[in-house]
Amino acid sequence: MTKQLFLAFFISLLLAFSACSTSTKQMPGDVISDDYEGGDPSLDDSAATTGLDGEGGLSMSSLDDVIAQSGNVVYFDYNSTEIRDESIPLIMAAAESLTANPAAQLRLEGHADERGTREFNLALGEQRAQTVRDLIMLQGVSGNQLDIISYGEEKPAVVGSGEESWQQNRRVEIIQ
Amino acid sequence: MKTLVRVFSLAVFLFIGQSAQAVLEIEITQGVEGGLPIAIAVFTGDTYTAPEAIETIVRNDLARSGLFDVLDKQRLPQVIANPSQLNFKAWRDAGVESLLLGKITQTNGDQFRIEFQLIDLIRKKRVLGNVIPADAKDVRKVGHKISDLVFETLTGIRGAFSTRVAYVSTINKDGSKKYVLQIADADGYNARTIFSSSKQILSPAWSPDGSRLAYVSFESGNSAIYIQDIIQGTRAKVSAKKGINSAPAWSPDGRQLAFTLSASGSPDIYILDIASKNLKHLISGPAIDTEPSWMPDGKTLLFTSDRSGGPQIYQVSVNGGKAKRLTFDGKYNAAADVSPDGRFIALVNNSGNGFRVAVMDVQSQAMRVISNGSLDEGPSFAPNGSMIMYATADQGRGVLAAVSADGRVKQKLRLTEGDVREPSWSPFR
Repeated sequence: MTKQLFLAFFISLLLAFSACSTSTKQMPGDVISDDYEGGDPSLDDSAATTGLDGEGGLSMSSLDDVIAQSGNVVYFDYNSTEIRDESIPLIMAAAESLTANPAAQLRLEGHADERGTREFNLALGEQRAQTVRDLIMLQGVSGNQLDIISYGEEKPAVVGSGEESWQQNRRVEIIQ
Repeated sequence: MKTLVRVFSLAVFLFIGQSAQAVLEIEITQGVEGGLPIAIAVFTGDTYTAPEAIETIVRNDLARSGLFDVLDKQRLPQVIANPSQLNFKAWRDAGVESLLLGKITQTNGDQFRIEFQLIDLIRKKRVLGNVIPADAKDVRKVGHKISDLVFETLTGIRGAFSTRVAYVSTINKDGSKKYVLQIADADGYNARTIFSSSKQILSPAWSPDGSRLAYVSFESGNSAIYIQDIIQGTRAKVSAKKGINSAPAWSPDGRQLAFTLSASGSPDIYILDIASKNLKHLISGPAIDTEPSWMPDGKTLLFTSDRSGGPQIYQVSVNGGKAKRLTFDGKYNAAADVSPDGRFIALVNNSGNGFRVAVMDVQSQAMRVISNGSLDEGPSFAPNGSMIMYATADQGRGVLAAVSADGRVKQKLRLTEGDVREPSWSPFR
């Protein structure tokens, strides 16, 4: 498993725990041993538990805050649909926002740089948007809240050839 | 091999509809010795009010085909109206084996009669003679017609100079972007807009009878495929499903349209029977499958797929079944266009030196790169297979270029207005 995906899953788990923190319901797959429950704490003074929730957990900002701070764009490597670590906070904020507002919708616009054929880039742009969508849905968001469109290389963010321009064009824009 | 670099540069003012003037320029950027040596004499007789001499049109047509070594106008040894005045030695000394003579007679107002004959200077024999009546405004048509006849007489291959090219251009006007679908003569002249939109246009494709164009337009917000009758201007929406609707390709009999849809979740190849509207899901799977292109026999399709990692060309029966990978040279092979005889495939190849047009021999699978840009794309064969049109970048702007199928002669077709791309060479008229 790639580092990025691992991180994404890890954050997903954190969010899952945080979502379940007020409930004692056992989730399928959770492994809880009853053996020591209610046991004498004096048997091991060093034992201490720390909640994942609260101060020690992940602090989530609102989607508006994240966008205001670092923009609404997820960037990609050349010919890649893999989400980079740097984009995880934006995607998680988008997921949180949609979870909090089940009636809300987001549009994911996929784009590619000018290299390669236009039709292949149209497909590549869609796959990038789908990768972002899938990660948002992994947080429990309904697919109905997400709309995807690919423009391929037809709608560059910046005009010009060279990696500096290309990097800015390989993107998914999260549009509210 | 000695390469002659010639630049024939000429400009003509055209009026495109009611819009502003546009200057078109033809450049022959690279030529080579070894073509059939021919001279195009100055056409004599009455003058006419056309913007350009017929012989110039013929000279440029033959030169850019890559099969002719056309004598420079400055080196013509003689101006002759009648073959009886022909000084065979003078023309032979200029290195010429064939000579085109022409005479223009004004018959009435803007009406002219153009007589021409092709002389075999070695056998001292006339091999072609004809008379074409024409209106002055049709001078370019007449020039291309003469080029077609000369080309076919001397090469045995049907000439394709009277054909057209469809393409997409972006025009920035008053701070806003306009996307236009245009049709021009195959040499870039006489451009006319057939569809205009504030949204993106992609992938024009000619119907085999040359009467309709299929293309992709984002006018409704998402991509959708349309078929437009280019004479009537009427059109029909043929696919507007969720996700991608793109890359239309006509079957050789014009009854079916192959294209890409991603309604199933990933881009797949479908075949639509246009009359019955029956839609067949031909290629599926999680990979990108797009850019279908029919083999001339209509029995198999080529398409681009990244199922092996990067994009490569595959071939599959129209009845489905297992697809066979055709390309192995280079990490990127896409956008296949098949030559009319089915022997060659033009495609976009990247073997580390940028995106270039390459031609692959279907039998031997040998591939030859025939363009030298770094962002070349959209190859489209001429209907006689002699040349390939493609899109290239020129100082940051998209232009169309034509290259002889052997890669020896290249020409840029330049519109001063707009960022041009997505050429599709028309069938014969």
